[in-house]
Amino acid sequence: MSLHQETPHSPGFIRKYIFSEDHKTIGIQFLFSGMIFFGIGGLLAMLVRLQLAWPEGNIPWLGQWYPKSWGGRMSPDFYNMLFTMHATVMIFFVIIPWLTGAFGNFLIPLMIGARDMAFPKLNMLSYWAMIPAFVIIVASFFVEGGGASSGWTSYPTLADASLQKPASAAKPGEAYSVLKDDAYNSPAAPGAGMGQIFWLTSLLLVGLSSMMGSVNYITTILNMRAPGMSLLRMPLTVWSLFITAILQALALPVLTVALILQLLDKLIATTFFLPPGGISFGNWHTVPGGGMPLLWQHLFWFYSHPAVYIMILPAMGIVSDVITAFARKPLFGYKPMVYSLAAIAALGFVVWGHHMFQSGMDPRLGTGFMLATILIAVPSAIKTFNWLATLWESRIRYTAAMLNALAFVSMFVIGGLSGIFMAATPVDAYFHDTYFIVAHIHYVLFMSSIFGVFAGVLFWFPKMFGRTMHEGLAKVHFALTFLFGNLTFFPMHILGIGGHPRRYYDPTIYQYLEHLQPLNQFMTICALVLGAAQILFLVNFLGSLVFGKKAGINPWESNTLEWTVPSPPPHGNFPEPPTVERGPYEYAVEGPADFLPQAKEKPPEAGA
Amino acid sequence: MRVFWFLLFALVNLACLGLFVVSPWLGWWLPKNIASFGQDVDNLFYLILAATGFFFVVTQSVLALAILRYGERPGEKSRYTHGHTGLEITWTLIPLAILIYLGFAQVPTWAKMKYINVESWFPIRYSGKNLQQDQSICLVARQWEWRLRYPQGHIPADQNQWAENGDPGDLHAVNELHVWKNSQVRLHLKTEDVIHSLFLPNLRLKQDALPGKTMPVVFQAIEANVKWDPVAGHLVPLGPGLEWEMACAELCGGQHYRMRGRLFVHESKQDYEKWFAQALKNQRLRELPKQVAAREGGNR
Repeated sequence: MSLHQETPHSPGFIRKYIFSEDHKTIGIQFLFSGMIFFGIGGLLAMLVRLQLAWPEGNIPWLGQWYPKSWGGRMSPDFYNMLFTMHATVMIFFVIIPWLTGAFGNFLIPLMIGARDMAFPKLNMLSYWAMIPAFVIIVASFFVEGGGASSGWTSYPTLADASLQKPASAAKPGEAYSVLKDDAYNSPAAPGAGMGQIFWLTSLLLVGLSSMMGSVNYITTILNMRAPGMSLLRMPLTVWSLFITAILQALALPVLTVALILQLLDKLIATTFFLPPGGISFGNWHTVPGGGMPLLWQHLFWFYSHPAVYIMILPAMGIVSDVITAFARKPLFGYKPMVYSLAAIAALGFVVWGHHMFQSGMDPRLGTGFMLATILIAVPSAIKTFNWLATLWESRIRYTAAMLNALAFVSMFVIGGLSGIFMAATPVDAYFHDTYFIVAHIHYVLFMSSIFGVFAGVLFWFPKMFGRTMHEGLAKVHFALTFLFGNLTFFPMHILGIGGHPRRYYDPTIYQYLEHLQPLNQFMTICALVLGAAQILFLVNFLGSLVFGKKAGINPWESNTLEWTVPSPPPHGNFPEPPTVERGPYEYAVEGPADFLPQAKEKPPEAGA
Repeated sequence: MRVFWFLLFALVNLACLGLFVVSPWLGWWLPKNIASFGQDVDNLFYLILAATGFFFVVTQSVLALAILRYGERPGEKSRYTHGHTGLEITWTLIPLAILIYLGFAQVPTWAKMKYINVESWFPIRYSGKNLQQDQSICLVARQWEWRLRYPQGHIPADQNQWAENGDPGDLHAVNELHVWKNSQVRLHLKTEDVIHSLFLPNLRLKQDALPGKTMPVVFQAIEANVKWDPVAGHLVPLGPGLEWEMACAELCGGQHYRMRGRLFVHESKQDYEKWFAQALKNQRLRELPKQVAAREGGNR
């Protein structure tokens, strides 16, 4: 057996944990940085909720931290910054990095039986492109004018107007130029100056990172599967990450272009998004443009609608694997599950216009987008019914990971169904930009995706760190999150039906909204409990790294390849390359054990 | 614990359902509708609510029941099955049929709202030419107010030209949208600076104002909230609680939330004309000193 007794590859500390090319370490790096930003994004949300519940009140002790000029009360521009950065952080620095960065990196090679990613150096770079993005987005809170405050959608001309020479100051025939002294300030909003420039730069780097990841995932999955691991034997987690990577690779260039165009608008006063007549803020007049604000919306949503699926598809894959493992039952309808993932992704490219029904886009075009959007409910329904059918006549083990996965199914139903209201153009005319959409997005992205992440972390924690997380604590965290999550986000539907617009600093100045204020206060109290409950998860996660019960190779009696190697797996993952004999969901089989792992059983070694 | 998890899932979802049941009774619901197409919009909302409500109850019940019934039991295994083609086809085709119906059910109302004459079952034929119109109003959004312009005679000869340049005889107002009951109104919606969005909850109406563009917005209010009091010479509300508001729905900067305007629907065209005459007179009185000052400044 001398072949397997090569000197083990043992890099130094820095190569092993910091500039690591090992996909497992990179995945864990994404997981940890995501947790830090989850905390930041969560705190921003708490401040948003405090303002909404008591818009006029001085919040005890918090008021002392505000600048004196605000009079002990949050300023409206600061409030706009809060929800802008909350969404930005949660989407680009938490959910996408967690799902594709952490799970994608950690799981893909392990689940397909590969030693590592196809391009380990590129993989390392994909994380290290995130570091400047982290620095820039955090720094943006402290620049003049504060962080970006034009919404995570950054619509021009609010986001991209830059302070230019007034028309009267220009001599005839002279080219307009940006004023030197306060060139980067914006006449539209304080946060639309330097804060917006930082925002754009940071997101460009995040995009770069995601692009490097996507190329790597696609190549790895296509080229490096173990013998016998045909495409239709891949676990759904890998399928979902594969389809997500394709989505990202196709959609990201469009966002990148849009970000660069807006950056040019801001930095060198190009006018990609400025209308021909220019715009004016009181006595300030911009140069005549030649562009179109609507262009940004098309480019932005051409990426950002697929991005919504980038943020949910991997969670669907994870949940499918967790549910089968703890229901001890084969996945119901493997092929329909794969095809419906692909269908969601494909339809995802032709529905971006549903964000723009009221934008001034041709109403006939809206009808087309509406029909395409409504059709996405079909593959979503197929997935839901297959999960339910998997659970039917199963034998469920109520682990914390399983409960989070079940919660995903339950909450995804709500998030999916509420989407149909906004897909319908006439109904959307009323619901567009109200709290109904805030409810919808939080049911999809928090109540679904994040439950998927919790399920995944609980499920693969033993493989990542060789220990299990504390079940009891994880269950308490789950129960609190499920209960208070619903209490926080469900009443938002009702606010939306009442016509409560989103992004309002103080809704109480409207008579038709006044009576909804008790709901706002109730939701804020629940949101604070929800936020506090996440500390349990953090404590459990960090504590289990040190004190967790030692886990064996296959603590959940699961079938997929990662459960055939030690926990945590060594560098190079598989001491011997595995051979795959069957699909990933052979549970409830005949015999003493009720599961049949994918890998071919190794013949007992002579002399062992 | 099995029963506990069942109860958690079942009760939370039941509470969600319950909130939708009690909210209308508590007044946490759609504001009063006053638009000609508003009832259609509300009906579509209820149609979707019924369809989604049905699937909500079915799926959540199945999930909760599965959690209750199928706990692990020693010595027992799950049923071994990889799926069922018939079931897959069923639960693909049934939602597909319902969703296609829901989709096409939206089209006539959408056409009505956007003033498209639907000439076929699929709305590809478009004609906005023969629309009836009683009133033209130019509405210019800016940070952070709504500026309105009302023409004399209700409809100017060349609407586009008027929306662009205005007329010296126009009546100007800020944050106050005046129309009369059953008047077919066409707003010329513009913005000076950033994107704003006109939101009139009672009219079930929302339209973004795009820099560089003039967006047409068409509506007809079928209920009045003010009438002209000839004795006092001003408008009086028709009843308590008939305050209809106008809001901005697209983030437009710091004071976004303060773009509050009000909608006045006069009882009759005559009422509106009386208000218009009075308001125009007031406007000229206000402008007179300025004009005099300007003339004197010019002579000096």
